[in-house]
Amino acid sequence: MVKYILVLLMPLLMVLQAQAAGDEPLSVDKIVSKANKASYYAGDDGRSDARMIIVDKDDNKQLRQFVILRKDKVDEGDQDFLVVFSRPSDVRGTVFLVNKHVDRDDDRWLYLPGLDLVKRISAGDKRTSFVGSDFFYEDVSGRNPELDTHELIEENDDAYILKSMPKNKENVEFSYYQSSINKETFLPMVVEYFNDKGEVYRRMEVVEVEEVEGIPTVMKSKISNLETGSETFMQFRRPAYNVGIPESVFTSRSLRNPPREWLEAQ
Amino acid sequence: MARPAILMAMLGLSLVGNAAEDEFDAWGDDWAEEEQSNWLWGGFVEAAYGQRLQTDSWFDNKKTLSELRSHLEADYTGDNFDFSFRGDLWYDDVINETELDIRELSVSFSAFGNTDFKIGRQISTWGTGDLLFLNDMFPKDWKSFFSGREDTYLKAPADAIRITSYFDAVNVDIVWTPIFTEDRYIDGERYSFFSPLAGQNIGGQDLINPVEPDENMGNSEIALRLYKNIEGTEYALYGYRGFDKQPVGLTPNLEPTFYRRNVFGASVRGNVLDGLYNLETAYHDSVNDSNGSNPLIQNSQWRLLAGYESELMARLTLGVQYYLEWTQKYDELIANSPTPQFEPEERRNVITTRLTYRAPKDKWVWSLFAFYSPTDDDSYIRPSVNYRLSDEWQFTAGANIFNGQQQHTFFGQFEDATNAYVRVRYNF
Repeated sequence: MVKYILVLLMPLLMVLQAQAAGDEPLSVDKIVSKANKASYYAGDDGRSDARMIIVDKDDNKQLRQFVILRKDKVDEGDQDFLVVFSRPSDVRGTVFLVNKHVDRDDDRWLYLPGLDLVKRISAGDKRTSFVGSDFFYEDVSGRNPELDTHELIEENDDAYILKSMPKNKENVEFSYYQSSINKETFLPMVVEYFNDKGEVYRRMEVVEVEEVEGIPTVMKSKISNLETGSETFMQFRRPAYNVGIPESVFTSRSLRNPPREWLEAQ
Repeated sequence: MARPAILMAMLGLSLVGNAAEDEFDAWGDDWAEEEQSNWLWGGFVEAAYGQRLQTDSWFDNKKTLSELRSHLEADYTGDNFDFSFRGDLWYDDVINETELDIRELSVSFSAFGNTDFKIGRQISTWGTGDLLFLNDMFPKDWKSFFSGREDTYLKAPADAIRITSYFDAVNVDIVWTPIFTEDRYIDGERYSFFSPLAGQNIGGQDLINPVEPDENMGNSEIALRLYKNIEGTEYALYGYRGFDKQPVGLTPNLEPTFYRRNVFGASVRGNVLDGLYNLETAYHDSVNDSNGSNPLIQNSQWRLLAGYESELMARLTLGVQYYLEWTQKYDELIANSPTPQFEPEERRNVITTRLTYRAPKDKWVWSLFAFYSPTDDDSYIRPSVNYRLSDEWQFTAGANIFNGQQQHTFFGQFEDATNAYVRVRYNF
């Protein structure tokens, strides 16, 4: 009987909750935090196959294929990434490991199999090309929201439009960026980067979103470099969340000996 | 405009239209269908040419690099082990020979839950220096390095067993090389070198026919590393029991040979001030000449390295290193040397800088690596530019520029070897 009443009350409760949320507009910090969470902290961990096609202005195409593994230590806090490349042939066996920290510089390594070299990547070196694509290292592992000041400049029925200015301009090539964040999923669907002249020179667009285990997941995205006319298309396959990747996967052992049981789809 | 676009994207529809859909499908294969095979193949063919910018009287021909090379890679992923092959076959027009080099032929597997084995021919690297080696006693190929082959070829393979165990307290790495494997050092065939006994450079052919250590268990090389990453700072201790990697010693009959050398060292590497620092030290113990008085055997040395790397501006990275080689028992060395005027300084130091500029998407990579020794008053500059046209085609040009005031110093002896090169590679 009690159960029956609860079932009846449930929709009412949800409506009330929704109204409460509607009454109190989200603060900018809350939007940024939810967007950060939706983009980089879905589930406690995750894996996905990924591939990129890099197209320059002359229509030359390059391919990159890899598996990306992630594990959160703290939601919206420290987390680890492992990226293992399988294509093209001269990049195969290259492994990228990130121990991401919120309160200090990330620790990043790149393993180059030809030299058996574990190369440490300089901490400031985040906005350089990720394996020759229009994506930056920082696009892959996420930019710390604390590095920018955020301002809500527009809100419509579907999206929050945020303007974000870097606190320290030295390590970034943009003057500010503007994100259009979907109100339902909190995924940033379009992010435009502006130069000193106030022109958009770089644009990230989400092209396809799918629900995976109830989590809205970006399946296809695209980065356009409007200055050079080049574009990179990123696509994911077989994403999975909460698969129980152990912390030991995100250590130097995986650089020389990638963890095959986690590279294959679950 | 933005609103319907976002809604459509939410529904899984394309907002960029058919053109973008085509781009996403442009891989030209069905992603879902691949990866059925346990075998993976790849490789490249490469043509390379380089020549001297100076005249070396020992060589009529100015060519320092002229080759057509094929490189093949094959990997097999089994249930319980991996197999890996890397091999190069090339025609070397400088020495008129067809060469074969197996760079890797190994089996890897894991056991006991925490230990990785790699058995067979392989490349090994450790230490923190950038083109400076203190504790890395694995074989190097200096001929390739000075000729403008890809940097990868600086590391030479060895037949070895590598065992790496991961523990909570510390990771342990052991590389056992049953048969001593020397560097591929400058021997006069491609470049001349300074001979203290002759008092000048000699070359024109391979002039070094060293006396090798006997092949027995006692003469195998063993390299050990204990390492741990604590909060992003990497600490390591190193030990090596083996020989000089180059025939820098002389037998009583004045034949070049390799004397025992044990190495103990430590390093630390981590982030500081938006950059990366590294400190490394090593003691090279000349076992057969502990009092430093035997002129046929190189003295013991302390080696010290301090480095820092940082991004100066977007895509431009600067790395600097200070390196010291401190010869022990220096007075004994000078007192007993037949050619004291050609001995290195007691504290030979070298400063290096590496400037790297990566164009957007790494299409162009410009690099300038410079060694300068204030004590020897000599330098070695390696400019290079790499252009990646596509995943298949890559072009590289560069130079090896040596300069020295005196002929006997480390870089000074190679002044006439100064060369420029180009390479064209097709990956498949």
